[in-house]
Amino acid sequence: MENRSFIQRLIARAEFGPLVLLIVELVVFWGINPDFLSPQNISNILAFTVELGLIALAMTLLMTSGEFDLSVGSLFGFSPVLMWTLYNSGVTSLEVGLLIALLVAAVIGLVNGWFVTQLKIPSFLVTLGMLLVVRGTALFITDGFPQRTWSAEGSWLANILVGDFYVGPFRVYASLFWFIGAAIVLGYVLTQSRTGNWIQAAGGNPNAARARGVNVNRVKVGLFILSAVMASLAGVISSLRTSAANPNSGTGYELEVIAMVVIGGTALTGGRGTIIGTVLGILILRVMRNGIVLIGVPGLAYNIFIGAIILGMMALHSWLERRHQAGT
Amino acid sequence: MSDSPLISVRNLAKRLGGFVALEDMSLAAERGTIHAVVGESGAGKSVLARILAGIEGADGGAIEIDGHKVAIDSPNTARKHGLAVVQQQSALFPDRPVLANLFVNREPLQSGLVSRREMRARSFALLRQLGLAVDVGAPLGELDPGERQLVGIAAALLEHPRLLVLDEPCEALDRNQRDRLFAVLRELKARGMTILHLTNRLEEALALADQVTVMRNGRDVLSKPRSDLTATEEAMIGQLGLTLFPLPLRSLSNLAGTLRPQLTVSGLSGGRLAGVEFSARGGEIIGLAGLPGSGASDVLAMLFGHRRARKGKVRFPDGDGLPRTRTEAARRGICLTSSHAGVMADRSIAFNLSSVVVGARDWGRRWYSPKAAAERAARQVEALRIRSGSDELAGSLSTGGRQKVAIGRWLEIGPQVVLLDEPARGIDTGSKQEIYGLIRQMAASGCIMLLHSTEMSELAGLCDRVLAFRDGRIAGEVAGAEMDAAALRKLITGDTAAPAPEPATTSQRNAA
Amino acid sequence: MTTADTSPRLAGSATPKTKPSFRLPAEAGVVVALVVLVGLLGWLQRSFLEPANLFALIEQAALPGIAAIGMVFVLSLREIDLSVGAVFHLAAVVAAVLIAAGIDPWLSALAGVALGTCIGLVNGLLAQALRVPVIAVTLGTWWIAYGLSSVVGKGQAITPPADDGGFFSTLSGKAFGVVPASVVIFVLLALTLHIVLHRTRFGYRVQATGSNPEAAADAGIATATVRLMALALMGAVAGLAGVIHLGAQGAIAPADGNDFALFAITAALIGGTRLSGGHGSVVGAAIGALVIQVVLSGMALLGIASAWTSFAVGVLLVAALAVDRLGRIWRSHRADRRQAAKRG
Repeated sequence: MENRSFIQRLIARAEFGPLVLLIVELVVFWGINPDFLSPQNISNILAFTVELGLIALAMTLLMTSGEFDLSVGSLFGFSPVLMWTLYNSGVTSLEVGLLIALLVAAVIGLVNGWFVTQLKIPSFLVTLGMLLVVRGTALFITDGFPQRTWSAEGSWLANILVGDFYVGPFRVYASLFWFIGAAIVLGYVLTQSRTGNWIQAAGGNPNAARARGVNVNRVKVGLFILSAVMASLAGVISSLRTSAANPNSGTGYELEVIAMVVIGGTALTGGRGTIIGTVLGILILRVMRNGIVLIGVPGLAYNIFIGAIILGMMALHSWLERRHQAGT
Repeated sequence: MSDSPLISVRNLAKRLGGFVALEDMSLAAERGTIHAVVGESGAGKSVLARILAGIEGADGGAIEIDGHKVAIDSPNTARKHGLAVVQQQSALFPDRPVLANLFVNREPLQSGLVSRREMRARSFALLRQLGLAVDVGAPLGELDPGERQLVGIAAALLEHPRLLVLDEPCEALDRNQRDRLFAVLRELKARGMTILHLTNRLEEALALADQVTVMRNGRDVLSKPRSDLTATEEAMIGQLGLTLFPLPLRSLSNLAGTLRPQLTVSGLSGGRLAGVEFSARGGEIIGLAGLPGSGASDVLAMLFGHRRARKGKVRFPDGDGLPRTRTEAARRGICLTSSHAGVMADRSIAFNLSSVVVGARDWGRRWYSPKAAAERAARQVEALRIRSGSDELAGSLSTGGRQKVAIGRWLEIGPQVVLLDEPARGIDTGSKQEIYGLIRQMAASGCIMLLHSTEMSELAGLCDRVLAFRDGRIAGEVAGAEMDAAALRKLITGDTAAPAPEPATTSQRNAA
Repeated sequence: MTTADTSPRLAGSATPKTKPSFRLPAEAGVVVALVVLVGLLGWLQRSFLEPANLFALIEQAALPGIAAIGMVFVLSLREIDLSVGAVFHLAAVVAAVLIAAGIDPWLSALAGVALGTCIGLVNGLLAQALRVPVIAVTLGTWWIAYGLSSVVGKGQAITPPADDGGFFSTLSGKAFGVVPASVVIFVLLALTLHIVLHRTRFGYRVQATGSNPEAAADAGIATATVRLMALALMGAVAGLAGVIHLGAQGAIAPADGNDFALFAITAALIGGTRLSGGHGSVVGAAIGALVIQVVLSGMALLGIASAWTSFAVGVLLVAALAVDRLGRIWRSHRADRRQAAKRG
């Protein structure tokens, strides 16, 4: 076992499959349509990647601890609506509005976590219920119409979150750095910190984790809050970038985010998670969505590919695991 | 105050569901001693360990540390008081690296991040001392059961506890690992650590302990310094378990060999197993002895179609080979009862007892009739001496009662081959005795019985012949007059040297 | 020191015969909820109790109700099928496209149901082969089925031409002039599958497997086959619901069936099916579907903004779960007390 070569170790890693897939994808799309790798298109891919990506990063940690959050899509729509409503009605400044929106999201995460840990109801259903409640509230606040937004150019908040500039020919939004920062921090948290060990222990064997004094409930509640706040932040970033706050935005994001995390190699059943894999998963899906339109396949077929990739990745992981077991 | 014992437990009581696990348990462990708590499995040792670990709360009684009454209400409190508990089914994380398992929630930090280097450095010496030569970066699941057990113990030792509680630490260890562990424990004692050693093997306790407390049915029945134990007392303790076994009913075993159904296994390999050969006849109870990971229970899993064999020929009494699935096995009258699967706890006893007749077999009526199920259940409840109505939930039974239900569901189809995988593990003495009686009865009615157990006294007390497994091979066979627990233990741990001069060995012989 | 003196004190053993207590059927709660809700709404709005209104209500509940009935089998196995809504939609779209291509409507409908069954089988086979929970597999097949139906239907509503074989007229017709065809199918299916779950070998196996999969497998129950059949059944009823929708409405729109999985799970849970597996009630799920529909219709009737619809379903779902959980805590608490009392 000790003399496993470097290559074998690399192949056995959960991130290897997604990496190969991403490279294949890039090569195929580029081969069919060279415009695919044009600076403008890359900028396009990256702009939206960040917003779903922020949620996916938090979801990776949550899923590693063995739970789900389906309410992220509705929070993505709800938080900007709340922020703009507060601002438009003159109650608060935009900054305070943002703070309140994030705070409300944290409370929603707390409620999710409380239901899951204290009432021991599966997170799938709690957050499904929460999805509907939050979406319903967003629709109620706005009567179903997009909220009036003021062009955010120039505000320091907008500059920090979504200010754009050119790096060579690439148009880059400030949000990209937030995403990179979040990925690095959460990656370190998951693999290098004590909290990360708690998360993996809680997902791998909750009873054993409790026996070792890990406060599994607190870890999970914390992660629910994190995922809610990140979803809310992503929603705000998106609304500032597009200058729109639509109560319906984010519909269906929850499944796409979970797809990204699963494709990256995080186990749906908890205990095993990888931030690098999630980043690859995010890129795979965004590149796919962008690429199949560029090469002329109807955009509606995108969903078929996502499903196929999810199943393919699960097959790969189950095959790797079985081979691993057979080898010992 | 310093002359008060490090820990004393007074009149501890604990109820689990409707079952009394601890009734009135007391003990006191002095500083710098090894205190053995000896008791059959099911006597309540593991519950005691879980209470000391802060995983479960006691219903009554008190725990005193340094003479002060303390409330251990969480694992963290236990740790604060300097207690470290190694549980029987080691509470570990198979997917995570060995290193991470050693330091769960105790990770050394360096500028906020977990320092692998320091973890390596701190565990290196201890692992070597324990004889654990493993890649600490590899997932724990890749290790042998014995190595995993040692990792669990090492994790507890790394905290430098004042009191170390070990629940059956040697169950999965071979002779070498055990000796090394004992040496380490003696050294720790010399350095002032107090050790509570919970075990069901008297010889193990005697080899190590300064003080011995005997536990039965959730009470302490005897507590004496090791040196004060007289030979007769030793013999008595050793014999406690043996009173459990009913006399053999040998009505059938004298029949002509050709008439009796026969199971032959030759060259069975797969997983850890290599070239296993034996045959068994109806009416005979064959024991399979072996440490966890030795492959003994794998044989049963293969015969039941739960695990795939790589090669080998097996011939069942019905003339066919290995079943491919558990369903096929059930339909061919091959049945398995194991200690880990359990019953459908949120369903009635009647529902549970139908699970083979209605669930597995495919002939007969397509309907499920609750009335017929109740009639069946009434018969079995009577025969198995389950003392609850058949409409009660199976979950309301004690572990022993559940195990009876798990065996009872097979009786309705009149099985031909009965495979038992630790059928009496962790259940109370009363039920144990009844289950042993049931095993004898089934053998007397002509079933082929294979019994795997890690408790050697159980095998010695019940079986006509015992096959000892080591590293996936049959290491020896014991039958008739040579049958005794110590001899079996020696075979499975690979201790081929001359009989160790342990008093335990002789007393066990005398007892048997 | 023999065992004789200890055994009576032991467990389970000491339980004397309790007097046979009358147990309420699991569906009692949901029936009471339905009666109270209907009574309340009827009191607030007389028109609510008119037969026409009530039948319209049942008709709206029928299709999600059919999906809920299938979901009971899946939930009883401790699994969740996410792909229900997409399968519903795909079956309807495929049937519609086939009818538009000139194939006999009844045959096309059969093809739709068969397609649903096949997707269910694929779900089961994949879960088996990959050794992952059904929810994970159906996350994948949901995307695929959803994508396929939008590709086949080109993302638009499909209205197949009316026929003369009586397909559309039958399914949009009313028995005795008042009972819509879909309601007839709904009721018959609920009763049939109720018997299947509680009185057949297959139903027994579903409940046994859900209650404790390992124990069931060790008793020789072919748990993999049971799961496969339950998922095929789920796919078949989802496909059936889709085809009925097509027949009754005469068209299938892109958003139809989006929230089916959610509706079905909520209805099943309200009806007393337990998430921990093993306990399912088909009739309960059917009544649960009615409860949801009554709440939604009642809200419309009382003039509450439709934006609150999803809010209400979400609250119902969480409430049903919380009630189930609290009920379990109460039951175990009561059992403990009874044990303690017996001990003296």
